[in-house]
Amino acid sequence: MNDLVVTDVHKTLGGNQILKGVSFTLRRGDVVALLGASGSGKTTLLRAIAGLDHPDSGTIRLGDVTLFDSTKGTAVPAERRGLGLVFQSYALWPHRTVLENVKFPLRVRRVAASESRQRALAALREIGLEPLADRYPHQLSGGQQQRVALARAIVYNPPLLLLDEPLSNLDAKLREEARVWLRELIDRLEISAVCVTHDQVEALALADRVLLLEQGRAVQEGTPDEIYERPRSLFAAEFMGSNNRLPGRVAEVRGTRARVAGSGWEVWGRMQVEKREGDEAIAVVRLERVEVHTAPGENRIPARLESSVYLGERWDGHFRIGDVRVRAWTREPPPAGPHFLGFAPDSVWIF
Amino acid sequence: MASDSRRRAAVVLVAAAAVLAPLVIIVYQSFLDGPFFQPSSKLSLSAYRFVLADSDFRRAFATTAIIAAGMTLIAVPLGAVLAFVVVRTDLPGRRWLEPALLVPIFLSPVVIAFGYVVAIGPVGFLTLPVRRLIGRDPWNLYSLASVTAIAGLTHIPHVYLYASSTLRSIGADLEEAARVAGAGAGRIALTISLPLIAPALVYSGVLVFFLGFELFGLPLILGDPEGLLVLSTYLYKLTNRLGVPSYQLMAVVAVVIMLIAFPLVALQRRLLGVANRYVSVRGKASRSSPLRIGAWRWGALALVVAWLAATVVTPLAGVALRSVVTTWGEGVRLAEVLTLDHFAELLDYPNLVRGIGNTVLIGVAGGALSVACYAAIALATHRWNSPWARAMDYLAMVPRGMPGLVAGLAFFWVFLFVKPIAPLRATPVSLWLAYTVVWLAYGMRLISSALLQIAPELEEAAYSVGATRGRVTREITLPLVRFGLLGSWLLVFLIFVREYSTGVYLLAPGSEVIGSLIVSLWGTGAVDTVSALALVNVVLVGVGLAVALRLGVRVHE
Repeated sequence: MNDLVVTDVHKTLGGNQILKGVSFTLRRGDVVALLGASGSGKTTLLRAIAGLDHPDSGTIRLGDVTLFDSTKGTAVPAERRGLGLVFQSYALWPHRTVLENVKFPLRVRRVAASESRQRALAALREIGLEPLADRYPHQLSGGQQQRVALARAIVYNPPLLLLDEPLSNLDAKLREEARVWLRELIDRLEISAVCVTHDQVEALALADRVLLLEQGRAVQEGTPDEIYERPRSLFAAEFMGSNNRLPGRVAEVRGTRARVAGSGWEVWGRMQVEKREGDEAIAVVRLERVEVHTAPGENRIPARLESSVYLGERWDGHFRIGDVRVRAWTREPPPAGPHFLGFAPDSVWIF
Repeated sequence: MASDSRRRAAVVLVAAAAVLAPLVIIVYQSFLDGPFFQPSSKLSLSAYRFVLADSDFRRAFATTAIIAAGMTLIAVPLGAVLAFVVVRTDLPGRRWLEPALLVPIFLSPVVIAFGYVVAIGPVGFLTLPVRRLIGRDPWNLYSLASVTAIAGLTHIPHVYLYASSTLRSIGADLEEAARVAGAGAGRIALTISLPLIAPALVYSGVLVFFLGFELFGLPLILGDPEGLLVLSTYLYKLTNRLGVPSYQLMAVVAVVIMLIAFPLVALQRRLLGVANRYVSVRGKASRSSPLRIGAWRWGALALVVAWLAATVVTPLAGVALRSVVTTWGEGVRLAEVLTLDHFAELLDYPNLVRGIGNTVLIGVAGGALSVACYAAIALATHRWNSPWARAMDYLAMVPRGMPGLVAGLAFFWVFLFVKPIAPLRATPVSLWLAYTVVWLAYGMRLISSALLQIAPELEEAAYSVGATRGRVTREITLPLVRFGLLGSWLLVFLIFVREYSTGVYLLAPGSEVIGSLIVSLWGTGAVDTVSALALVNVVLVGVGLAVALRLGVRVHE
């Protein structure tokens, strides 16, 4: 019913093509994360859904309601979409108290004064800030402001919540807590949400589905697990996680697997795109998937340990294979050499 | 570093002398019973007794207060509405309108007043057809209400400036949040935008009220026919009324004007801090799409255009028309009276030629020199945490409390009193000094806002690699603000060319400028010459404004 359907949205701003035909669907109750680097068009897409910017072409539907359709000239203004939006800057009105901020959407909807007060207080209770109702925004911490912005966006039970980099203004420690808290709140309220973020961890933790954007195009869409474990492009593979990159040539193809060889090394991996023998190829492997051995073996490459850095919960080993640097994360400090780096063929992606 | 501090302190001391000398001489003169240069003059309160007992003075005081309050009530609401529709809505043609909105600030009030006389005076080219149509006088330009209305309409840009810059600096996300919450344009304007710019409106309201006490050109030309006096015109007429120049009485009126102005300037200063209360509250710079107000935008456009027609087009058309006709009045046919003689006649009078030359000289060379002085002062106190810097801050406020007419009078006396500089009195130098001091606060604000845009790290980085202060100033600070300095020069050119009241008392053979010539010629009834000079003034301002806009100078500062 309440599916958000975005179809082929284009937008040009100041001569730059910001969105080059993005489509996605959000099922009711799901959280979708729009993930991408800055300039990928994710915020523009969110503002288009909110109605603050209008795309040049495409359609945006929420359930049975067409919010935007360039062919029919439909463009419901932001104030009549009834969606909830949490701004990156929170955009709390500095001249109003917390309670007044949260009450405002209800007053706009002509809810009676006593009821709107109760509902606003209930929303503040939901986010745990009821005692601070009479404070002004500048008297709150960043985390509290973020919660007030959220309360203001949910107080009128919008069918869809839009979040613009909701956690980016919080410091690292707080962000981890807020992430969990936010996900729990969305589940409790049983609403759908679209969340814009450049932080992959945030996207993976918050979302049911992730839409990866690159320069105005959706490059991959799927569950967090799919996006992280089965990237369909070099961009997707390298955007997520921390990666080693081994450029070489395809020496042998066997079914879905291929052997890539560089100067003084070769490795078996899974082909993510069609490759033939002799093609240039790049083997990508996540840092945490590299095994460090002291003896040669299947799909192992001799490497020279250059340095290793202790990072608390892990060791970060810097190795050299010919002219390529490879890093490996291990629980234990790297043993004394000689070293052989081992790769499970399924964890090496060949592009 | 010690010699550096000494140099900075020296700059502050020179500025202090230039600012305080006129103030001191006026206060001193007001407590004498004769001119300060007469040895027989004694300390006395007689001048105060005379002025405060004069019924004309009391009437002038009351009239001034009424006009100042009335124009504030007109300018503040309209300026706020103007700022909102221009900055935040999809008003058609906003880009083109924006520079036009500020034109009234750069037009000389004497020129505007004169233009109104020609356009909507008793025999104005707009009055005559309307009278024929409705059979009676449609309005009386010389009434208190008209002066107040015109003063209000011409001061809208002052409110617009502060309201619009505050609106711009407040992130649009605050309004977008209200939109997403379901509020329409009208509601957003009233419940979000208005409270946010309220401090700026209060500030600009105080400013306009204060400018009401400085009004001179408008009441001089429009108030005279019906004997309407305000404080400044009372001061101006004192000499004529008593037949002899009564310095002590003039000084008392000047002191009274300053006593009203100083608290208002101080109040403004307090308010400025408050006015920016919400400015820091903003998200990341976000491009915002304008609020769509639908069919209302055509109504808003009509309103803006009507205001521009009333405050810019009408008076300028009056000036232009009067400058190319031999006479104007009931039953005159335009085709029969067209002439360009008035412009040719300007060349027949050496004082007029000198006046035009001096105006350009003061604007171009004087403006550059003034900007250099302002920059020297601003750089001397730039990021200098010292009592000297704070003292300079207050010193810059002093001339703000001295209207041009009063400052001109004070400098006239300074040049009479201080013998070594007396020979400079009848030269453009005296004018330049007076102009520079009168506009000190404005110039300093231009320069310091340019200086503050430089991130401190840029200068600190230069210090950290071993550069001395002088070197940092020369190689980092000045090159970074050079566009700001150029813009300041253009703006100072504009206000110097526009200035008229400061030159009134300094008017002497050799120190004429267009503005003061218009004031003095208006008194003699030489309308033909006034109209030609007024048009020359408008053209000079127009050229300066065109260059400024062309170079992309932010006229709204």
